[in-house]
Amino acid sequence: MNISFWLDKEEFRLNLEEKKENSVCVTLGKKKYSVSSENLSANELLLNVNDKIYDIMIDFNASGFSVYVNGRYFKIEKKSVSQILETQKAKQKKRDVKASMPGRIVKILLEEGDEVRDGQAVLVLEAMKMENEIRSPQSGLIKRIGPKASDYVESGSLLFSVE
Amino acid sequence: MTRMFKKILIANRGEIAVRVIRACREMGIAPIAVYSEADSKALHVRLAKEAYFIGPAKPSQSYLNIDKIIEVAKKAKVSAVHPGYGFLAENSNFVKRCEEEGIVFIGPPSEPMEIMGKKTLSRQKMVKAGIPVIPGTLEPVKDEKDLQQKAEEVGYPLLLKASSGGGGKGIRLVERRAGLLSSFRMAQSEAQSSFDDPSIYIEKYLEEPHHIEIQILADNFGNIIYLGERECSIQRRYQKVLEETPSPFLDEKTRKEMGEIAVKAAAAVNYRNAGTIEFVVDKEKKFYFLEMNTRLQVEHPVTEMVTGIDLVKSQIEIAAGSRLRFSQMDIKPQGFSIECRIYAEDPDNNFMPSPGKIIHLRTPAGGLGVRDDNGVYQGYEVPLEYDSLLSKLISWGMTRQEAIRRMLRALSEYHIYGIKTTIPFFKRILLHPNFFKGNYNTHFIPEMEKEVDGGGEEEKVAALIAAGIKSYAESKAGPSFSSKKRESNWKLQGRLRNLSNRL
Repeated sequence: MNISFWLDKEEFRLNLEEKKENSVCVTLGKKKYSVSSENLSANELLLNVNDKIYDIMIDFNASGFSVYVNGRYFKIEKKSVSQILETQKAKQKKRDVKASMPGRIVKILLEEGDEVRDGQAVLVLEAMKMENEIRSPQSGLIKRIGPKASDYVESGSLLFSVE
Repeated sequence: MTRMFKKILIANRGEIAVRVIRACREMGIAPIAVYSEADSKALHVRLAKEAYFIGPAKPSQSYLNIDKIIEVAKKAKVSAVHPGYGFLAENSNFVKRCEEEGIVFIGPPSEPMEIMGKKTLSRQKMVKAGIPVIPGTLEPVKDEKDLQQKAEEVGYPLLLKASSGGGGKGIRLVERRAGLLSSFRMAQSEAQSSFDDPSIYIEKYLEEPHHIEIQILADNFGNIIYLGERECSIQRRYQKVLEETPSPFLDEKTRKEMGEIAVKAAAAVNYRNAGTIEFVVDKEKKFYFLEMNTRLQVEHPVTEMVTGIDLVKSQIEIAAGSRLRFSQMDIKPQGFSIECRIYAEDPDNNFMPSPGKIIHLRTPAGGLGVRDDNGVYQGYEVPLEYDSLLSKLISWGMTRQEAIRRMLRALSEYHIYGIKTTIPFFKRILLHPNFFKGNYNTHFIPEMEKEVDGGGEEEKVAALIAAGIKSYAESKAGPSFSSKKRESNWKLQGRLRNLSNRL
């Protein structure tokens, strides 16, 4: 079976070939892996990859998988019609960035109308006793900045829009 | 003969409340918890004997609300309050209220706390007592003209610090004259908003500094002892990340000198109970008083691991009026200990807080020399309102290498799923050749962060394979998934166009 996944904006193609119950041969890129797996619970998966053990937690939803391996987190997406559409739309359109947690605006680093690069910090939000830089999800122009410096924002309120 | 407390109110939350509850239980004292709206299901509540609701999640309305805490203390008929760290732990108004109400505050009296809380005042006191302080001003700068003059005297690079500051806030590094005024204004506004006091003083910036602190215990009979040092140079944005004892940087002679100076500093302010003197040590091993933390420190467990002394119990005994049970001669640290502060933060995304539900938790229980001081459990939702410290993982070893390897082992067994944590970041630190050699100072993390994180590649492969196996299992269970997968690209594009027309 051939499957393709997206991880960090990169595509990965896998080929899986079942050898026997719970045992598959996986081809990823140019490499081949001999894998056996045990379902420990609905979310726990014990993998043996070329004799190396991975005690994995995996969560599944419509868009893909959340996988935790050795304390690291990976969001793996399945390529689907609606998703491609979503990313295409996002590329053309304006994106609203909302507060993911309540907090206080410490500093605003850019102004409305400024040009912004993908990943550039736009403002600093203090939450959970930490100052956090909130970055732009894409390159473009800052269309709107919701709060002013030292404002208190609720979770879900608009921080800025970038287009 | 002193009388031990029957009940202690713990005016805190999270792992430190759990830590104090454990000491109370071992001493046969009833631990009394308080909790805010966000904490009704918190671990410290589950482990307490009694628990009292104190108000909304916002700290100013609950854990920082002095009237409310005092009211609960009276209602629960406790004879003593343990403040933990943070919140009211260094609030001398709270200590005064306790003194007035006849409730024992488990910590120092209000006076030494007040002196040590003001950085400029404590610097003056220390100079008078013959303790070396970092060169700089002993008074807050008066105005911008005074600032410019004093800055020339001290010399660049220098640090601007809030007189009432602490916890790394209100600090600005000024490398050269050009940045002085703008940094001063920023430091002032930060000091005003964080500490309600805009005054700023100047300290010389030491090159390649180490942050090393000395734990002391002082009873009410004038006995003061030191319990070795903690190396706290592994910092990120002035916040401690990992601590260890003994410091790989110190030699026996400096260690003893620092301990003796720490005792002298505590005596100079008539200190009592547990406290920590923080020093900055330069590359020539010259050390300078930085500040005193008049409370239990987050990183106290590493000292406990090598001395075998329970610092929280010692605090409670001292507060109850007991004499110290050991003298300086009895303090003989054994082995090496490391602490990793596990935060709910995403190390791959600039350490953004990662609150949420812990859907799965397996802690590294078992094996010699591993201690997990945590405040969470499986199914617990990490609230947004507070510090994101989930757990302190502590290891002990006969040698430093053993302590490091043991910590790596424990981290590999530590499974927290549902939220992101700093666990992978610690693996990077511990495996870094400079850390392993013990060759580091406060610049370690900024320098490490410039290097490419080579880790995670094999985990990525394993994650993709896991996703593949789940998809495969699903396709075997029902044909719908696999039939979709075999759709040709032009068909997909067609459906895409249809769908986009409809939306």
